[in-house]
Amino acid sequence: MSDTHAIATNELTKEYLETTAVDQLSLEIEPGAIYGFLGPNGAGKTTTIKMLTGLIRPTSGSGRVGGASITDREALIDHIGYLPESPPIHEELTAREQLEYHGGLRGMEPREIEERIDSLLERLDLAEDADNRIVTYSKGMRQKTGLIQAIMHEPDVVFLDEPTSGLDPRAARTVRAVITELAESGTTVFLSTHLLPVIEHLATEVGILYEGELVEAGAPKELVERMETGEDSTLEDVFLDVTTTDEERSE
Amino acid sequence: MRWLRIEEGVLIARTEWRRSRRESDSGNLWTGRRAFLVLALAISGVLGVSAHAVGTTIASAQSIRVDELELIAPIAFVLLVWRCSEITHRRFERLDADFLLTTVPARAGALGLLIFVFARAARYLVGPTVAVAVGTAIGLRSPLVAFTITAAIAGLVAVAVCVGVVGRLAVGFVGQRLARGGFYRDLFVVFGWLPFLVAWLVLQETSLSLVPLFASLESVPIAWFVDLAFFGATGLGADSARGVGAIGAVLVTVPALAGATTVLVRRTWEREPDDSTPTHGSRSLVTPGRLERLFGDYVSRPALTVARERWLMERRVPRGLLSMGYTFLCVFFLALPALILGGSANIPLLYFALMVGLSAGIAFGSDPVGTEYRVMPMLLTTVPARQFVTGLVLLSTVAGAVFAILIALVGFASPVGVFETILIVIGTVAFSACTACVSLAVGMDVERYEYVTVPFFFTDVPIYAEMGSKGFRRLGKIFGVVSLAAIPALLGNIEPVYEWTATVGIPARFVQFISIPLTIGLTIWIAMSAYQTAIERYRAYQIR
Repeated sequence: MSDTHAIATNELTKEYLETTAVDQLSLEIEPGAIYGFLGPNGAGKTTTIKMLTGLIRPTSGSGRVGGASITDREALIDHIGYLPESPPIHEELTAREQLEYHGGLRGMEPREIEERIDSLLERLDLAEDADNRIVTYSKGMRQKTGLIQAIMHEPDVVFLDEPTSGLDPRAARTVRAVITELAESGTTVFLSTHLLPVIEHLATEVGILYEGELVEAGAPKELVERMETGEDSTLEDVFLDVTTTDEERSE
Repeated sequence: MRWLRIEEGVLIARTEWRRSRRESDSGNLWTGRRAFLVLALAISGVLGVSAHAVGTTIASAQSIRVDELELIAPIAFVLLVWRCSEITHRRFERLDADFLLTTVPARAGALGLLIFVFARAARYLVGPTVAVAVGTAIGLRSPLVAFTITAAIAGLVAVAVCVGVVGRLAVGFVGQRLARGGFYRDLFVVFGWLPFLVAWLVLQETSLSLVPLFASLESVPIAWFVDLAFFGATGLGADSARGVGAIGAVLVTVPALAGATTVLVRRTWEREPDDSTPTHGSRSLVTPGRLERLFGDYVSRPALTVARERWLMERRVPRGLLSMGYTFLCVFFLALPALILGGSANIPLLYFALMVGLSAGIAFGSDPVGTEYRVMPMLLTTVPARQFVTGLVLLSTVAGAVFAILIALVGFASPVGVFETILIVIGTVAFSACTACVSLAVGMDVERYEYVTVPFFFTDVPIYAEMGSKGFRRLGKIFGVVSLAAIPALLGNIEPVYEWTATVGIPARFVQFISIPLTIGLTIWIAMSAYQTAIERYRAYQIR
């Protein structure tokens, strides 16, 4: 585990009573990568993200994000942006107020906050509704507000949990473009989603988590090539292959 | 009878019962139930014995004071209606309207709600009812009275449930339909008691008689349930015609109100709300505001942003303002010794200072997890602990300081000395900061999963709050710790204390004076410890 990696974990484990949610997870992700984090429901993806963002402490193992230890949240917050599955926004505020709040909490300069907010609202087609309260927003609009919040301070590493959830095809395409631009500017994107085509299209690296263990990792192309089932294999085939038990296969 | 949808209604009520029990007892299910059972048995026992004594007295005197009981029935009815309305308010908001509307007719949902509220009310009343019925019957040596009392109470509860449910749904419906209607409705619910208080005070001053009002209560149909209760005991003065009238009232009003419930449930669920609160327009959180101008050179931008956002949220959802009611209650209890034993001239100003400090600290420091529930993942991954805690303590202290100016004016115009006034003003600010620190330390010790959404005044957006008694226990801890700091000043200004110190050679004036800086010192010490605890708890806070 070295400081040159954007994200590096060593045997990261999280146990809840008798359940092991994440089991000895070791990752090394380069700066500027788009890391597609896949796994069936309950595989431990959200738990992993919560550990990497300092929201929960690992039972054992260690990890660094942007060079900061994941157990030192105060140091970690300078390097990360986070969009959970349900965007962390106040419904009583307008999108502009919420984003100004976030920028102020980050200690950004007022002019910088305003410029970033205006440009990202415009980019994500939210400018017209920015002064309406979030309680009136659709799911997709809330998701876009949450995404702007996660990236507006240009973090080293951004964690996105289902960022295209609730978005219409046009908005989903814009979000994918924003993610690509982020990576091009040097931001590492840790992307958790069930939408395999999104990962296939965007990710430079992929990790598949199954029952808390990392069962497959590598570039999407490599993973597909490793499959020996046929010539038209996709990431979906790889996913289904590594997350299917022998019992399920025989059925 | 299939059209009544009783089966579905019962199933909905059972499911909601299970949900509400799990919401309120998440941690200590068995302890809570045992405590409730013991309390219910104790109350029932006392009521049973009392009812037996009353029954025996009536039996020996061969008459009952029906007119006195007829005053109690309407009061009990009003209390029941209010309680049922509260239960409806909480439960109706948590019913999954979309699911129910696409699964069963609205009638079943309405019936489920009525059964649920009736069951909740009955939960508290079944023990006392049986005790009173059996106790009176044994005392009167008339088994039939046990049945008529039970029937009368059950009938009264049924009507109260229907009135409470319909009333609350109607109030909610009006708030949903009329622009600004919801605001005035909430204003009435929160401050509606004020006109009654003023009326009571006026009556006290003018010594007007309430006898005609009480006499008119006897002719209210609700009082007929008393006659129904004693229907089984002949020759005691109960009016049998009014007893039968009570049965008729139940048979007419319950189905009619159940029908009204169905109509209101359907209309509330099926229609989109109008704009009852303004939803447009931003207030800038980045342009320099008053806080920046005052503290910009000393306090970091993140801390100031925390304070400004909390103030903005308070303007939209006045959680802090409405929690001040608890402060009045707490200060009332703290003031009891001084009211009973007497105190120095400093005492009223000291209580005023304590009330201001507690109110300001509770308003902005209490329940940080509930207030910031939705954005907690963002806060924890964005703002350092010290900035978060400092921001809220700053806001509480500023709010306390504003009211401290008023205290200074009152102090200078009163017999309180100049130095004492200055010290009490400093104490007000210290109490505000201390309460905020303690509130944050206590508030950051609550797990996020213990919160559920509940409807709240002055907003269409549900807020997050702890269920059951947990919120009150948390407030109790805050009041307990801050009151501890106030003890020296309060003790030193109570008459028996400074009179006693005077007998042992310490002048009363000195004791009254020195106790105030002692309290200020203790307040600052508690505030500093709590500030550190709050920071540590924020740092260690996990979202499971």
